[in-house]
Amino acid sequence: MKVIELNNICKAFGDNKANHNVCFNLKKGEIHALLGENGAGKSTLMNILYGLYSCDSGDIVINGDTVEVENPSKAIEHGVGMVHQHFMLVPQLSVTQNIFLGMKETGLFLKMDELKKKVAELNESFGFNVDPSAVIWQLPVGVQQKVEILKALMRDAKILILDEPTAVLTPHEVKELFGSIKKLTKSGYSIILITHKMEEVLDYCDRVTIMREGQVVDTLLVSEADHDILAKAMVGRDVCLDRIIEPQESGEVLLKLEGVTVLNDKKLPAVKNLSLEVARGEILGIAGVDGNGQLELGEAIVGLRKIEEGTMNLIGQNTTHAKPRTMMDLGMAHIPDDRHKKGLVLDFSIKENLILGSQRDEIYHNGLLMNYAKVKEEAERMVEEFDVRPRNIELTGAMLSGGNQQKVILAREVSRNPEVLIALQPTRGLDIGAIEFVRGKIIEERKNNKAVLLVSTDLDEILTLSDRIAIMYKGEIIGIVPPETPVEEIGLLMGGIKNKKPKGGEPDESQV
Amino acid sequence: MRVRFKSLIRPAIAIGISLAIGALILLVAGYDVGKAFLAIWNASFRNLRTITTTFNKASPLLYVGLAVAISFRGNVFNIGAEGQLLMGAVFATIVGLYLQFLPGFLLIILMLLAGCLGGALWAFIPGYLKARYDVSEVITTIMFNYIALNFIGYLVRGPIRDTTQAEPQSFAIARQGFLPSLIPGTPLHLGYLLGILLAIGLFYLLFKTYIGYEVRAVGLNKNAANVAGVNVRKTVVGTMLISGALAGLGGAIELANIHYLLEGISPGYGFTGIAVAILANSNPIGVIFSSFLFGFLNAGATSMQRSAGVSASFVQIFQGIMIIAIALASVNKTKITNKIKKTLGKDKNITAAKEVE
Repeated sequence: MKVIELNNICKAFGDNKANHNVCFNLKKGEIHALLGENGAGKSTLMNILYGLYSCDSGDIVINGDTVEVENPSKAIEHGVGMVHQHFMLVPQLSVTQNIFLGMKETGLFLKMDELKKKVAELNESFGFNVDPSAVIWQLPVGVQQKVEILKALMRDAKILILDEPTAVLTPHEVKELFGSIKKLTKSGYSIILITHKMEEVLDYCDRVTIMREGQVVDTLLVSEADHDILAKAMVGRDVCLDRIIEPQESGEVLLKLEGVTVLNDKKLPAVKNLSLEVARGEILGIAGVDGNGQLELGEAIVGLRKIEEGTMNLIGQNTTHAKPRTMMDLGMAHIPDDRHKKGLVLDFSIKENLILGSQRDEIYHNGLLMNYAKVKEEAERMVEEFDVRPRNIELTGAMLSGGNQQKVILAREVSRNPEVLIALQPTRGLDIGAIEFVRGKIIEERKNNKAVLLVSTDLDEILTLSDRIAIMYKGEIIGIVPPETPVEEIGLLMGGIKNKKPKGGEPDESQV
Repeated sequence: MRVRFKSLIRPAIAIGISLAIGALILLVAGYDVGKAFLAIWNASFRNLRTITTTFNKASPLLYVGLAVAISFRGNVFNIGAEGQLLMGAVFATIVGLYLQFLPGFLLIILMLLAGCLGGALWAFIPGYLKARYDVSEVITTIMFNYIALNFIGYLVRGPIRDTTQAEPQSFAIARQGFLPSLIPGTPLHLGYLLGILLAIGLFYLLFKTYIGYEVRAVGLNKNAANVAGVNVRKTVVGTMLISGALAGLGGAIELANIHYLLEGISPGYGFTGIAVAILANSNPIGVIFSSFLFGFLNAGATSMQRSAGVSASFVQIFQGIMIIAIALASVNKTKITNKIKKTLGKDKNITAAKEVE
């Protein structure tokens, strides 16, 4: 039985056809993946179904009735709930308070105990395991995600749209999430999963609809699909994300940390007595579950966070307390973990973004005045070489897709011709085509005999790119292994379990 | 250049809308709209004398407008242009009173430099506090306005009071310190020309030099600027110093224009400067025009009251509408068009769509 049918949906934003004659249907009790690169039109389509956008033409059929979905409350009335990529929870309120926020059924006087009981019941039936009294900000993101789902369930949604639900989850949390989702489908719920991750589709979904450039490419049974078919349908050409690194001798050590301790924003030690070395011509991958100090480590290395104890050495210079400017002048380039916050000035043009940090380089100015002709020339060369689309360097950074924004950052950093490249979560949130490109450029830097430090919570990425893998756990490097190491072993290390010393009491003195 | 031209559309629409709403208010209140507007127009454009008076009145607005504009570009909300202007006037007064032996041009130059210094100093403290300790510059600069105003009150009632005058005011500065007129016999003075040159210079600084690049980068995203090795603290303090110096210079010029210090030397120029900068979209070249527009309206206020019977404060209402209109005109365009489309699509409430246009 089809619970949802979307027929010939069209939606344009200006000249951009975000959805063009899109047809989609959802059967009762299935997990149906909506797969596509960023900007393929998946979210637009679901926002239309959820009443956030109105479509230009086409109709929406829910449970056999053609309906008008003017706003999200109408969607909820029809039993459609959506969990957004960015959670919409009030951090200071409890789980129960968040779930019932805005629901009229609670009446004027809240009977918290009753409400909590209701949450607990729902919890139990789907194995969600969320404490109804817990306050949101204290919960890990994986649990917050479940609260969002509970919110939709409490509103009697029978059809759930999940927008990239695993973007912020650890592999373990992902497994758990899909466990709960399976239970939901068995009780008659139907799920639409928006994603660009093929593994999720292949591992957990029943059917998949692939979108590209606003149109549906195909709808398949997952049992008939494989990795290559999906990738090709998504990108429109063959892609390769396999490990293509050729063995290479590494040279002298360019970056060296010894006994480094760094504090996090709460002034607690996030990196403890950590030592590592990165040599010319190698990629050192730092793996670990998000929040084990990798980010703080990366920030300390590029000079954004203070090194409390220990020393850092960059290309023979002591840079323990150096500022970002000094690091850059010594030959360090940095791909920050957050494009929007740290990587780009979104309201600057692409041209201006491409020289951020190099604005004082002699080639870009004559005396005090900028040489914008030269800036333009260089910018045009860079967008060509790094395939930034569209090629218009006058557009602002905000107008680009995530992948192209990352290409701008990459172009800027690599064009500085650095000796050491620090890449923090370089492909997070990117689609597969952009991932391929970014990884290719990182490999190229290695080939050019640069030292690369890669921090990523995506274990596949680490395995694909690294010459050596350092696993971080609770601020320490718990082990350094070659990329051929079985994934299970690395997974255990990420969870803090060392095979020889089960629970190491002493700080780890890793030989890097 | 295409972009620069585009940035003119918004203010133009805002002015058009406010003209319409202003006319509507006058009409509803039963005034003769044509007569009132004509009176404002004539107050400035009747003859050489009146137009130069308008330039004279626009002069302090030009300086504070530039001061606020550069601070906005650097994402520093300098609400203290008023206080910086006053301190500039104080410093200039002291030079004008105590260095009477200097020849004319030297005294004027020194007075103007002292004005810059006074304003910059008054802006430096809030700027430093923001850069170093993240203290909100909005609060500190507002407070500094009061300190500056009361400091003048003390000066003109005590140490430098001209006791021959009934109202508290300082002695007049040395005669050779008076600002020379650009066109003899008219109130258009040298300071206005300097202001225009500074506006052009500031435009170049902001958009054509790496200093301006860094100011704008810090203004738009200080995190990214910091990651890219820009010294954010230094840039914030620097922005405030330039901003304060401009406001202080405006104060010094106003002082050299009216020749003595008094509490009422600024009828809130610093605050009007915020409106001037917003109307100009913080573009220094635009400030030349928006400051003239505000000066023009202020010059016409009394004239309108005389000949059309409309209270002079109507001009302030009008200026207020203009600011609201510009704020509306800068609302995300797609948001508005979406809303219009949605509204039209449902065939109801078309008037609402017209309002947001």
